[in-house]
Amino acid sequence: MSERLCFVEDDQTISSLIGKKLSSLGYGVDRFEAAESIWQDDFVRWDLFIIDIMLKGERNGRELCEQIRRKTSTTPILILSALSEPSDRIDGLKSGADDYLIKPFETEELILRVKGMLRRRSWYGQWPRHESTFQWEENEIDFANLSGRHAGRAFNLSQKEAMLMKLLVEHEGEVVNRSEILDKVWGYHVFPSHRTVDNFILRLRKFFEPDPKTPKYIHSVRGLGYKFSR
Amino acid sequence: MKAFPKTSDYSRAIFIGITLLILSQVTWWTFVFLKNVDEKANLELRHLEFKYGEASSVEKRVEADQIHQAASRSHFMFLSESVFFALLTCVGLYVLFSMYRRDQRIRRQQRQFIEMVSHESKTPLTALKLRLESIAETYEDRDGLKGQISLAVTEIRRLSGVLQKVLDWDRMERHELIFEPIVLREAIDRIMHRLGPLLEQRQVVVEINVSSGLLVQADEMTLSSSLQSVIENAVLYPAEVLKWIRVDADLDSRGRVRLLIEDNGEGISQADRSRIFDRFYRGRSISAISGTGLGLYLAKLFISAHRGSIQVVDGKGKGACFEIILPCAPEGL
Repeated sequence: MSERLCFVEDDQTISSLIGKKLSSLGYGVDRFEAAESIWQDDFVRWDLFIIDIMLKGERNGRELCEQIRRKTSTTPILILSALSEPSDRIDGLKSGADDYLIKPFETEELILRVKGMLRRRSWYGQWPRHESTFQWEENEIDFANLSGRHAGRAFNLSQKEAMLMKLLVEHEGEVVNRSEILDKVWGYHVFPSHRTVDNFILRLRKFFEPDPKTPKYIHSVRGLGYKFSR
Repeated sequence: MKAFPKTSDYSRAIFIGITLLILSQVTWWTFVFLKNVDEKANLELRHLEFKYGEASSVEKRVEADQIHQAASRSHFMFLSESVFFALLTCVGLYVLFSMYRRDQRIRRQQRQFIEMVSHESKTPLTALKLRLESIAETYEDRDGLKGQISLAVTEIRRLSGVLQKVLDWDRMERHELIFEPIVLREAIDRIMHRLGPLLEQRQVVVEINVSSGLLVQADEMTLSSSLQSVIENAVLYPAEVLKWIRVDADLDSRGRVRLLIEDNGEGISQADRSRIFDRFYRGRSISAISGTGLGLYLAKLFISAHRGSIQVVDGKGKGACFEIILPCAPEGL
C-alpha cells in the first residue's frame, strides 16, 4: 500500500503541481487549502504532512502542527513556507515540525526530503520494547513511547527529538558530526539544513540539562558536531 | 503576514534628557546673572554710603532708588530672556524630535512594505517555477523549449536570490543578525552545492583549501549571501575565460580569519576596485554580462556588520582576488 501524504497549501498552482509530482512517484496525496479542513481529524491516516504556514482561514500552519502533535508524535511534518527568517524557522520547529523548507524550493530537494523523512519514519519500530528506555542521573527517556522525564517532570518528545537523542546516546563519548545526524535522523544530508540540527539540540538541552546554557550531557564539539556524555 | 517587530526606541528618553539638561543650564546661568546684578547693586549702595556718609539726604535717596530700579530692570530682563530662550530651545527640540519620529515611522513603514512584498512574491515565484518545470516535463523539446525554460528557471532563482538579499538587508537594519560560531568550510560547501549546477554547466574547477577547524563568528544567512555574491561575480565571466575558482583561508596576524576567493578571469582594474562595492555599479570589464550590481554592495554591508572587511587585492594570477576578513568564533564552544 502506498504511503499517504497530507499537503496543506493555499496556493492552487503549488498545491496541484506538487501534488501531481508526488502522486507520479507513487504516493497518495490528499490536498487541503486550510487548517480548518482537517482540524478535527485524528491524523492517523497520513504518513507525512507537508504544511504551508500562511494559510487561508483563521488558523495558520504552525497552529496546525501543534494540533497534529497533540494527537500524534511520530508522523513527520515538513513545513513549506515563504517566511525565511531564522526566527520563523525556530518557531516552525518549535511548533512540532521536523524540518523547514523555504520557498521557492527545488522540487528535487522537496522530494528527497519527503523520501528521507518517510524512510526514517519506521525507526521506532526497530526497538525491542524492553530495551527502549535509557536512564542517567535525574533523566529518563522512553524511545518507544516517545516520552521523557527530567527531575520528576514528565514530557513528550517528538520522533525526531527521540531519534537524535538515541543517536547521541548510542555513540556515548564519541563525537557525532552534523552530516551524520542529518543522514541518520532526517534521512538526507546534502542540503543546507544544519541549522535544523542546531535547533533540535537546543530543544534537547532544554529537556534534559539542569542548565541548558552550560550543558553537562549534550556537548557541542567545536567545528565537529555533538557528543553525549554522562 | 506576521507583525513587524518594533525596535527599541530611546528617542523619547533622549529628548527629555536633553531638554532637562538645557533647562538646568539656563536656570544655573540665570541664577549666576541675578546674583551678579545683586552684587553690583550692593557695591553701588556701599559706594553711596562713602559718598554721602551716614546721614540721609534727598540726593542719596534718589540715587539709591535709581540703583534699585536698575537692579529690578536687570532682574526682569535676565529672567524674561532666560524664559524666552528656554522656551525657544524646548520648541526647537520638540520640532526636531517630531521630525525624527516621523522619519523613523516612515522608515519602519518602508521596511514593512519591502518585507511584505519580498515575502509575498515568493509564493507566486514558486508557483511560476513549478509551472515552467511542469511544461518542460509535459511537452516535447521542440525549438529549444527545454533550454528556454531552463534559462527562465535560472532567472527565477536569481530573482528569489535578490528578494532574499533584500530580506537579509532588512534584518541587518533591524539589528537582528544572529552571530554564532559557523564552520566556514561547511558554509562554503553549502554555497558550492547551491551553485553546483551552474558551476558544472560552465565546467569550472573549484578548489577549496579551507580547514574544517576554522570557525567564524557570523550570521549564517548574510555570510553565505556575501560569499555567494563574490563567487557569482567570478561566474559572470564568459565560459571560455573562467576555468577555475580557488578558495583559501587561514588566520591573519591578529587571529582573524582571512579568506581569499580568487579566479582566473579577466581581473578587476584598479579603477574598478574602489567602486566595485558601490550600489548598482558594474565593472566596465563585465558590463556586457548579466548582474544586478547589488550583490557586492550588500556583501560589503553584511561583512561590515560582522566587523569584518572585504576588498579586492592582488592575487597570484591576473584574475580577480577578493580578501575577506572575518572575526574568529570565541574559544570554548
